[in-house]
Amino acid sequence: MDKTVVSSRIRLARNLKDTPFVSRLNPEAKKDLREKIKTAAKSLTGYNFDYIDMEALTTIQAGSMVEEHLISPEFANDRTGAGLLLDRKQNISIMINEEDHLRIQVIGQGEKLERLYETANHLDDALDKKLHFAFSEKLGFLTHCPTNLGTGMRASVMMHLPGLHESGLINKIINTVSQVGLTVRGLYGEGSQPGACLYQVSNQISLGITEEDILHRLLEVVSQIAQNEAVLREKMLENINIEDRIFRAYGILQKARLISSQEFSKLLSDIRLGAEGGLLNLDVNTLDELFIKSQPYTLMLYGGENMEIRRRDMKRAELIRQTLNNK
Amino acid sequence: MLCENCKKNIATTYLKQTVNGKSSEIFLCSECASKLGVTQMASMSNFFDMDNMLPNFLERSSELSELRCPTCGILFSEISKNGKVGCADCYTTFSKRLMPALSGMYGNKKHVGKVPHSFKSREKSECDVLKKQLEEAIASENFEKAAQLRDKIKEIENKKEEGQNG
Repeated sequence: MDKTVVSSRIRLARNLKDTPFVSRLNPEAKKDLREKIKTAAKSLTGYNFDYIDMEALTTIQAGSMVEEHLISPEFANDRTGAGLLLDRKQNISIMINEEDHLRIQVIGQGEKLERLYETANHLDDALDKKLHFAFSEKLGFLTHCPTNLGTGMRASVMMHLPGLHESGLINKIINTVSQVGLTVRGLYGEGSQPGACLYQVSNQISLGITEEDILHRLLEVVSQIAQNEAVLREKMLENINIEDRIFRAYGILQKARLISSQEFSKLLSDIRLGAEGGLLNLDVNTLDELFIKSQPYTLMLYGGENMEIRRRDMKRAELIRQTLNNK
Repeated sequence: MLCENCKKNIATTYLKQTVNGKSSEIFLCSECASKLGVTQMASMSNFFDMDNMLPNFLERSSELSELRCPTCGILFSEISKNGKVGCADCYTTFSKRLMPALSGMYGNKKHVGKVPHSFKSREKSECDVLKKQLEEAIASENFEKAAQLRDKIKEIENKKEEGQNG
């Protein structure tokens, strides 16, 4: 399982009891609510939240946060009255005025999903004491979209699945998991493309099931997917054509002068497979970091200018060369 | 990944089309996707997507669609259009209209997960208020009202016990 799981995430959707949902609030009311939530979160002990006013960010800064998986693409595109609380040490982010009043999110690379839920649950309790969340006995936590009713929780695991992707079996898995209340999505959530053979497996149903059962069911499916992937990978790695492809990808990335983000996605999956299969001596965490840094917005953020595509491809190639040759 | 149409927003929709055996792919932001008439359903044909099922369920129940929520002012027709409610009270206001759709999604399941502390104490204080009213009703010999209050308290306490046991 270790070789396929890239990261895990818990997200809780919460709304305040007596305040209309975000889409029914005018900009002033959104700002008042943002202030209220910010004050409540800042007053909690045991947390160290930095506050970011989303309206003050440039498109590049917001886009880079999406690439870092700190916020959702929708949150970056509509930033009116929106705010973000970040506890970087504990990998907690709270999106204020996204689709719901609060979206509490805890991300982890190596940590167990249960552990991430504990962190989210603890913070949820503390915030509820101050803010009083909307809840009904029958429907659970009341959310803007009825698909989040119940626990309001979405647990997801990001997996690297080149074997299933290449064999096309991933489509079969997507169909199968939907029957047990789970879903498989692309890299940045709903509707996004599966870049670099990365897939997000998460629960679709949150009503009529406990938090523990959601985690349990998800982990069971993740472990089955990982087993299938392992079998396919073993075969892949015995194939000289695949081995050749992995080393060619490594060669290109070490030498190329222009690399588009789409080309990098494909090549990265190959060298990641090589690293995970013991063919290449590369640290996968470094590759994950490189993937984020090489995304368009993050590249522009650190490149210090509004770069055209060709300049970005140049800068990306340079960054990749530096990372892979200085490891 | 930037939207390939406007090259400004972040792409949230991935569209893969196969025409005469030739496939093409495009990455779009949600704005451009809707401008170009790409529905989420089309873009996610491979994905089981519940968000798109809800408006479909709601569409079928069109009478009374001009009913308005007294708390947030949303019309039921607006909810059925985008599949999202306006406030927590909408779930009570439009309960009759929403329930068929919700049972379509969830069966007749009830919430069994976490109950927030603020809700538990809300319930407790509701019980306390009723008990006080009951004492007053007995003191003023208003036995009819007292019986009603007693039943109501019993109902809340039973519900609580059920919740604890189940």
